[in-house]
Amino acid sequence: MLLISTLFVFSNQIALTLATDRDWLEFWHLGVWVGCGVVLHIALNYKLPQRDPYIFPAMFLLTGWGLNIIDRLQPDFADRQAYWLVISSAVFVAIMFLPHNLLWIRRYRYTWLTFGLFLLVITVFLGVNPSGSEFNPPRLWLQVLGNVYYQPSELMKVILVAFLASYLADHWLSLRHDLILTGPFRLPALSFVVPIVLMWGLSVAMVIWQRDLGTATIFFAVFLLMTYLGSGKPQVLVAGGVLLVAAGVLGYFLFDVVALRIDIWINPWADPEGRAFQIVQSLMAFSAGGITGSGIGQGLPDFIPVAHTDFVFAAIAEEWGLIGVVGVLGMVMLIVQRGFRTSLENHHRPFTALMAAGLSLVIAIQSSMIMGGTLRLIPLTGVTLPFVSYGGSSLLTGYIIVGLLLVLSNHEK
Amino acid sequence: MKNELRYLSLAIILALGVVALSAAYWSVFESENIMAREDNPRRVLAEQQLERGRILDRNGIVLAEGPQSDRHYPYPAVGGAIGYYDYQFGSAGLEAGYEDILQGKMGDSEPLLDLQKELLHRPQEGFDVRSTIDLMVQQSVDVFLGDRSGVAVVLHVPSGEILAMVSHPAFDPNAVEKFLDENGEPPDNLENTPLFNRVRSGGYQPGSMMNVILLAGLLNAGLGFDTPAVDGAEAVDVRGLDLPVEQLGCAMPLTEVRTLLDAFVFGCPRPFSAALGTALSIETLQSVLGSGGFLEAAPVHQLDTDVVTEQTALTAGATSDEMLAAAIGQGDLVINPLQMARFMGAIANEGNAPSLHIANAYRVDGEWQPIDIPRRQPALLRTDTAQQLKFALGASAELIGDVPLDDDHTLYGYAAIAFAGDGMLSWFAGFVEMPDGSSVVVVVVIEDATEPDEATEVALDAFVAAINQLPQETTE
Repeated sequence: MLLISTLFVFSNQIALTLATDRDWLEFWHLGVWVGCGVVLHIALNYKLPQRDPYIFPAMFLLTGWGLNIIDRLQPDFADRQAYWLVISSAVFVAIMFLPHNLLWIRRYRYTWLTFGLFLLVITVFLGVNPSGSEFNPPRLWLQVLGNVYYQPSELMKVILVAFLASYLADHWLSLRHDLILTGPFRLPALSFVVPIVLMWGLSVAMVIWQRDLGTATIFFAVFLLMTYLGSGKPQVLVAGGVLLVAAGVLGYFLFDVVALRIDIWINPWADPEGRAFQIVQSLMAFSAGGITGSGIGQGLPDFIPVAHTDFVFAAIAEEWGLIGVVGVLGMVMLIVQRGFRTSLENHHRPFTALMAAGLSLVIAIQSSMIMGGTLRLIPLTGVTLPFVSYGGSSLLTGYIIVGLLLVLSNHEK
Repeated sequence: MKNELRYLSLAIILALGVVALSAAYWSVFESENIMAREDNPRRVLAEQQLERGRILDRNGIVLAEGPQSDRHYPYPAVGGAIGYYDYQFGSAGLEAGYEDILQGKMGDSEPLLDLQKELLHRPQEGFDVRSTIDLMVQQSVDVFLGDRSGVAVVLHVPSGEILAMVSHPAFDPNAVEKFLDENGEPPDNLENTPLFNRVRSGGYQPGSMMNVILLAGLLNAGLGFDTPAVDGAEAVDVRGLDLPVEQLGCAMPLTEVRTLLDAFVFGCPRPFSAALGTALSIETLQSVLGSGGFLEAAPVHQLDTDVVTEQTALTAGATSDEMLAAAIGQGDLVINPLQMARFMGAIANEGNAPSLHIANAYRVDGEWQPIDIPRRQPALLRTDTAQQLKFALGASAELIGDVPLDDDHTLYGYAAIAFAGDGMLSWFAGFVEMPDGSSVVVVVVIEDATEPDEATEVALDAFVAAINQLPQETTE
């Protein structure tokens, strides 16, 4: 599967070079990709020989495909993405070398969460926007070094999953059995509920403060679904769904940005060249791609503003067609389902099961949100397509998630 | 927890499945509608990048070339003949009529080559179109008309090929964007701009050119050329106004106009106007106008029939003044130059209308393919009537002095004048019979003419230009 991925990605790059009269030496970022792939494969075989065999190749393919499309849309950004690939791979290897029981996460959940919240807080004050072009853009990044920026809310996704998995696993029995009859409902004890809701609430509040509604939605959905997994109560989903709709309605009337997103979701054709330009261009990209696509470098996804980040899925649809769309969906589904398989096979170990499921959920929810947004299934939220979109923070988070999933899958053997 | 995990896993599969179905909806089922939207920049760009086919004249000289985003016309004088294409402005004339071929959307080509282009996503390429226009004739006639307003059309019969089509004031097809209005849109009233093609869309009062049509009616009614013309050169009383015959084109002293043929040859209207209601009924005249093609736009293959001026036929309820005005070509009835050219073509072609066309082939993969022009056209005149009219036109042409043609080329034609407002229209319509049996038809109308024979002078020069360009063949 790794060889097929390599052939596919290099074929794309050759086609791109032929279609756009590029210099053949501009392949170097793919060299980095192959190099990282070889190193990670060797390291995985050494440290995690019993890992799930499908997750890493699927991620590897999506990363290479992402480099193809980023190079096609914003050639300069492909180089930056390659730097981040090296960093992400290094962190990936580091995770392999840490204790595989993940006690370093489980025991220190409050420390990790406090660290994550601290990063969010300082982002409120010191945050920047590397693009800086938009009027009053969200400042979600911290400047790490020179041109290197990091988005703490990305790391917070992993921290939140780890916190929830650890907390829910530690309170597993009380959550399922020690319920207090409160009116018509059987609810967990307040001493259990308060810390988890408080910590989650703080996280969500921080990202909402930063106007990062997409990440806030992911936090909410992950919290809801992991609580459902932990409690086994479908009422949690119903209550969460009602809250989500209520938040949407409230947000519509309170926040212009929410109202705008919902308006253009309901009827983008009312203002196709104004506020709904991005989503309309996205739908046009899907239509232009048809079944087989225009071929890399031969479509016009450049019409979609910031296609290389939020709308990379639409760009793939235009140049690889429905076949490419199904391919990306298949890879995402493979990673998520193998993650769930790891969870299922560890259902007797609550922390491992919840951790694997939570990490898989982050990939699934984030992918569904942005793919559904570009297709006008749901209102648009500015999140990346994991492994494919341009974005160092997103790539690093994706690699951490997959690194942890592989450790968990190895552990189950 | 196993059940909850299974439910969630299933829900995720469903969610991603919905995403796939939605992508299929936009990519396959809704694709055509979305791609056809006018605000789709992909469509706009694709049209701009489209390699529109070239337009060549009948001898292979390039008249129009370049992609749709940058169409170029090396010889601006061809504007009246082939029209224009401008990305903002749109298209007209041959450029509009053969749009599908020029854009490569129609026509047979190599399936394998098409597949290869489709796979490589090469910009769509149009096919070259060979027009029937002769650049030399077109440019010459354009020069002959000079700064005067008017039209000239040169036609080959029986092929129906239009050799030249000049409309003045002219426009430069390279710069039609200057006619865009303040909103960047084409003007509502094109007829107020030089873009208005007077040859195809203009209507002129026929004046004494009406004699040709009336003579056809009288011949159809059984009258002969020697029918006595009583008071042949008398003045015509129209709406209480006695019009001296000289003003209506009658060129001979009263005593010389003795027969119907005399009246026709000398352009005297009295015998024709007097025949209305007697020898020539309203119904007969109406029939001649209808069968002669004067009540509908002259069909030119693939070109819009956009005659702007309404054709008003004579009706049984018309007053005597209205009929009289129509009979001398000064009523509501107006005639389009192409209608008259087609009628002259029918006279030259034993009554059969030539199949007018301005393009005859398109090139696919280096090979010229004929454009399918319907050859079968209705007869505009009975054969005997056409032959009699040809004789009368020949007799009339003998009055034209200094005809620059040799003995192998026989001129048939009729000069006329009409009054439009304060100005005079100078008309000429006729044809030259070539040694090979074919004919060249020329119709010229000059607006605000100062001399009655201005159109005749231009027409004679046009005949010479056309004869010099056409291959000289003799009938064995």
